[in-house]
Amino acid sequence: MGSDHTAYLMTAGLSSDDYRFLGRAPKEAFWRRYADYTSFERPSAVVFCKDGAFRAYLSGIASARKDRTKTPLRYTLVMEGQARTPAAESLLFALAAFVGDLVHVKPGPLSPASLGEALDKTFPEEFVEAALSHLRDTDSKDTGPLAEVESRIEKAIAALPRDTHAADCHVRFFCGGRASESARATLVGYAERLLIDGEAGTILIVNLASREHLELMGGTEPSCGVLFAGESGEEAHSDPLEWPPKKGFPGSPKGLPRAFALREVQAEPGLSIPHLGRIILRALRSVRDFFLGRRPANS
Amino acid sequence: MSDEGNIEFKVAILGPRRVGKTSLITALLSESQKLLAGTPVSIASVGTTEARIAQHKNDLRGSLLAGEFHPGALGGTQAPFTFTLSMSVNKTAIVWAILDYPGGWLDARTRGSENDAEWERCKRWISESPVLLLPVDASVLMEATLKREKITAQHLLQIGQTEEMAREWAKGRAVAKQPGLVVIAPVKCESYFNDNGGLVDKNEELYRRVVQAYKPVIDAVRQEMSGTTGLSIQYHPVDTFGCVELQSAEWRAPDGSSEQAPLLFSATYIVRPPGQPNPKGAGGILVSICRQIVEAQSGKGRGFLSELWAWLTGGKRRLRQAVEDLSAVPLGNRVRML
Repeated sequence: MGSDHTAYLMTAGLSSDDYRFLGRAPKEAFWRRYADYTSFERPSAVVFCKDGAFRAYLSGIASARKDRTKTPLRYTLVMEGQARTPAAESLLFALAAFVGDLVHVKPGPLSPASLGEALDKTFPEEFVEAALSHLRDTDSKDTGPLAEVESRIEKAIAALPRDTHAADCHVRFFCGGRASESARATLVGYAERLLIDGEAGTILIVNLASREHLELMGGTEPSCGVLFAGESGEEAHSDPLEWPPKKGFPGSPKGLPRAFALREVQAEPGLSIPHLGRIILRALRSVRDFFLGRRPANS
Repeated sequence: MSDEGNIEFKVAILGPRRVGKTSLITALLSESQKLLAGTPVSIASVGTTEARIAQHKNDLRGSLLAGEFHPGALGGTQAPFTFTLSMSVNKTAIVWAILDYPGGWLDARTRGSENDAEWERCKRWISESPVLLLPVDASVLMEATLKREKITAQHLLQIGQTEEMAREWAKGRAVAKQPGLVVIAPVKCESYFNDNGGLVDKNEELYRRVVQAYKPVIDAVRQEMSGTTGLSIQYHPVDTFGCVELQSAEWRAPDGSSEQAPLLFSATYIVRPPGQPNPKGAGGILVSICRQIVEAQSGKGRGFLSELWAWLTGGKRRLRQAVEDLSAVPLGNRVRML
C-alpha cells in the first residue's frame, strides 16, 4: 500500500491462538474507549476523522476459516491515513461493504459476507498459518509473509463492489438501526462526507448500546453518526438528531426526531450562530442543573 | 468507590483463553437471581452488561438448538469488558463489577504492545479486588491422560501465568493487611457430577486433579499472605450450562509440529433434553463473597471491606440484611475449603 496510510489486520488461526495483528499493530488502541458499548467480537466499527486524517477500526468480520475446535474465525481491520486520498476511498468501500453485510447478521455464530469473503480470498488458510507461525518464531514484524499483509488487504478491498449504496446525508448528528436500509445508506453517505470531503466527525457501529447511550458515546463529538448493530438495531429507524440528545426534547429517545440540516458552508463545525446558540444554551442548562441539584448525566 | 446510593465491589478474574468466563458470569447472575427470589432484593445486569449477557444467551441458545454443542462457538473475548451486576433494594445497591479481558493477555508474548496500557489498568483492577476468581476448564484437566496431554493441559490453563498474577495479588493484599478470597472454579463440570442431570460421578477425581494442578498457585498465595489473617481459598465447581454432556475429547498434534509442541484440544458436547440451560454451583460464589463482607465487620482494620460494612450499616438496613441472609445460605456439598 502507499506510504500515506497504513492498514493492519488481526485474526487467529487453526491452533486457537489468541487474536493477533499479523505483523505490525496500531500504536494506539483508539477503539477501546467504546468497549462498554459494543462487543468487538461481533460487528463493530469506530471511525474518527479529524484534521484531515482518519483512523478506522472494523471488527467482527466473519471468515469462512475455522480453528481446529470448529470455532469460526474472524478478522479485525484497522486503517489509518489521510482523508481525500485513494486510501480514504478504499476505506469507504470497505466500510460500505461492512455496513451492507450487517443485514445478514443473526444471533449465534457469524457467517462470512462480502468483506470477509474478500479477505478470505487474499488471506487463505496457508498464508495465515505461515504468517502466525512467523510471528511466533521471530521478533520481526515485517519480514517473510508479514511483509505482504498490507498489499493483500489492498487487494481484498479492491475486489469489493464500487457501488456504496450511499444516500445523501446533510445532518450533523444521526442514528439508526442496522435493519433500516435508509439508515445504512445514510451512514455511508455520512462516511463519504468524512472520508472524501474531509469533514471532521465520528462513525460508530455498536452492538450493545442503545439510544440511551447516545449522549455518553458521542455527546462531546462535533459530529457523529451511530448505527446500532445489536438487538436494538432490529428496530428499523433512521433519525437525524439534536445533539446531545436530551430526554423529552425533540431528537431525544423520548422526543420527536429533529434535524439540524446544515448548509454546505456549515458542514465543518465552527462558530456559526446556531453553534454559538447551542453552546450558550448548554451553559445555561448546566447552571440551572447546578442550582436544581441535578447531576450531569455522565457522572 | 461509591456514591450516595451504591457501592462498587470489584471482582478480578484470572482466566485462561476460551475457559468460558462470560458463561460463568451468566451462570452467576442466573443463580444469584434464584437465591434472591422471594426477597425484596433483586440482582440484575446493569447498562450494556444486559445486552452483552443477552447476546451471550442468544449465542448459547443457537448452539444448543443444533443439538451438538461446541463451547468455542461462543467466541473468545477480544477486548476488556466490565460486567456490572447490581444487587439492589429501593435505591441502594452493591454493584458487583467483574472485569473480563482476553485470556491471552496473561502472557506478554501474545498480548501485543498496543494492549500494554490497557493491561496495566487490568492489573490495577486485579490488585484492588478483594476477590480473585480462577475459572478452570474441567474438561481440559479431566480428559488429559497421557503425559504430553497433561503437559498441554498446564499450558492451556496458563498455570504459570496465573501463579505469577495470583502471587502479585496476594502480595498486594498482604502489604495492605487486607483479607482476600480466592475462588477456584472449575467450569463445564456437567459431565463429572451426577447431581444436576448427569449420570457419571467423577467429582472426587476432578477435585484431586484441580488441587494438584493449582498447587503452585495455592502455595504462592499462601506464602505471600502467610502473615495476614482473612485469607480464604475455596473450591467451587460450576455446571456453567447444566444441559450438556461431554461426548468426545480429542488431543491432536499440530501439523508438522515437534514432539515437544503443545497439543490441540477440542471437546464436543451433546445436549441433554430439553436443552434448557440449568447452571449449578455459581450461586455459592455470591454466598462466599457475602460471607467475606460479613466477616469484615469483626475486623478492626481499615480497608474496602470494613468501609463497605460501615456503608451498609449506615442506613442501608435492607441491603445489609440481604448480605447477612446470603452469607447464611449453606454452600452445599460441592464446595470445599482449601
